[in-house]
Amino acid sequence: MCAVGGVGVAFTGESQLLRPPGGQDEDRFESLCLKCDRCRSVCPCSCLTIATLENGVINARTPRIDFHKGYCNFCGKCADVCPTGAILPGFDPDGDKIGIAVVDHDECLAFRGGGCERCVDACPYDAIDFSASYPVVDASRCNGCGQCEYVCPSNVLRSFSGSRSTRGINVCLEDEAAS
Amino acid sequence: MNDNKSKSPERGERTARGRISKARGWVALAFIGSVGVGLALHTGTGTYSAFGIDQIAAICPLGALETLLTGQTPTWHVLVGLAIVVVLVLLFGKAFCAWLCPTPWLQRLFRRGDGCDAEVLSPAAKPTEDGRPQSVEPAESNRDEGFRTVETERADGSSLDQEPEQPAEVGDAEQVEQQVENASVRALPPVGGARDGFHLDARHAVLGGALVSTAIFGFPVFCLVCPVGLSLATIIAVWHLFQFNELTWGLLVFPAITIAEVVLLKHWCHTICPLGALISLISAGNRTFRPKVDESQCLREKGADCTACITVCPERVDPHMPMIPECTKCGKCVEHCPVQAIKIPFLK
Repeated sequence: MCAVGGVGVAFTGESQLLRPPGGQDEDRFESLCLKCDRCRSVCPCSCLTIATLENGVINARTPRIDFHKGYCNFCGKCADVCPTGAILPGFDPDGDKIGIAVVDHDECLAFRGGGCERCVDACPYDAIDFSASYPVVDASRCNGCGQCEYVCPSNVLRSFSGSRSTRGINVCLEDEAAS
Repeated sequence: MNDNKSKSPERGERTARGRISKARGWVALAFIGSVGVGLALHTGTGTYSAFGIDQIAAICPLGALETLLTGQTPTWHVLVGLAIVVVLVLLFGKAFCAWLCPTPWLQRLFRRGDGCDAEVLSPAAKPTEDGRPQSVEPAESNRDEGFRTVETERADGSSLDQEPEQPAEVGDAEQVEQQVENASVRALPPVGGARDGFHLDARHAVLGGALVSTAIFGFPVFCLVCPVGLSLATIIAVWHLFQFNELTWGLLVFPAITIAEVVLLKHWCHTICPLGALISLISAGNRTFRPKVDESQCLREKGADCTACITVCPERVDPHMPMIPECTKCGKCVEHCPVQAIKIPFLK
């Protein structure tokens, strides 16, 4: 059993994942998640998916957020059904963050030719400023709900495995967004 | 496995055979089906690891214990889930193992009838002191042999040659008298199963190892290799393959680990499974739905050395015994008793 634990730790993998709202404390999440699949199953917006072995041995089968499949409306159902509290209830969309949206200048259509304002229109929190004719994210207002990434048309037809899987605007973990 | 039985010519007394096995199959299949419904309809009911509605869910007791040892503080849901499971195990014993767990079915599927529950003793092979059978033969032949033996013994009375143990207080003269008197209907004592009664074994050591390593590493370690969790992970991975085109290593690795465990480690259920070990600790307090032998009908009471119930029992327990926490309520003894003397009533 210790060997199994050791293998788990050895192949944890570097990838940090976007967790469901309330599961942002990664240490706590890793310790308590039983990989029971209830949160992914209950998610009405389909933004929750299951991490794979490629995300690390311990991360495999845990829930992660994929904003290509849906966005988060902070309904809190995933926290309700979590049997261990790995996803803590009481996530506040006005203060807590899943992550922060970051514009990819190479992929954003507004940077490449202009005209696209889909993310600005989609953002329910007025966190994207378009006064400069390209999107600029206000990190203090953005809570990482993912609506911008969900509607972003960039790369949507090339998002199958083997091609680039990022959009013109992508929700990243807070520390990744800062760097 | 049920097909074999229904195709073979059956005697009237064996018509009930397979009915409980079929029911178990349907229950397990219905559970897997509910997971499929959850995948398709976002019901959020869950899997073997946690299953319920909204905030109330039964939880895998091993996983729950592990989360309590990681150093993080789980929410009250864990304790409620654990309480639900304890109540269920007290009520139904180890029924999870026979009615829900996919492992025995996988063993049957991949081991051609030599599954978990095929580790039965032939009627002649009594358990040795270390609890292992002297000879293990394929299940089907064992079962039939068990019945033939019974039939023969009933016909020619050869079983009467065996000396049953007499109580020590019975005097010699009285003993002879009794032997003469009961020559045709002398009751034989229960044989006893190798795993009767409450005892700690290798599974509990694995359970301890799982809990200790969880405390060391700070995450639920056994979940990584749990065949129960991984068999559902396989189903979910296949679902994602078809729904989202997600081609992942899990599609190969999850079933490979599961099959390696349940097929290569032949005695997974009896010697390794820490989940079964934990459930057996709780099921020691189980007093309901235990198999009950109607002694007035049992062939042993009539002097025939029938061991059908013990021979067929996948858990190697004797339904005659009062304390059999390893019983999984699989109903095999009920189905295979040649005189239908065994039932599983609510209270014994």
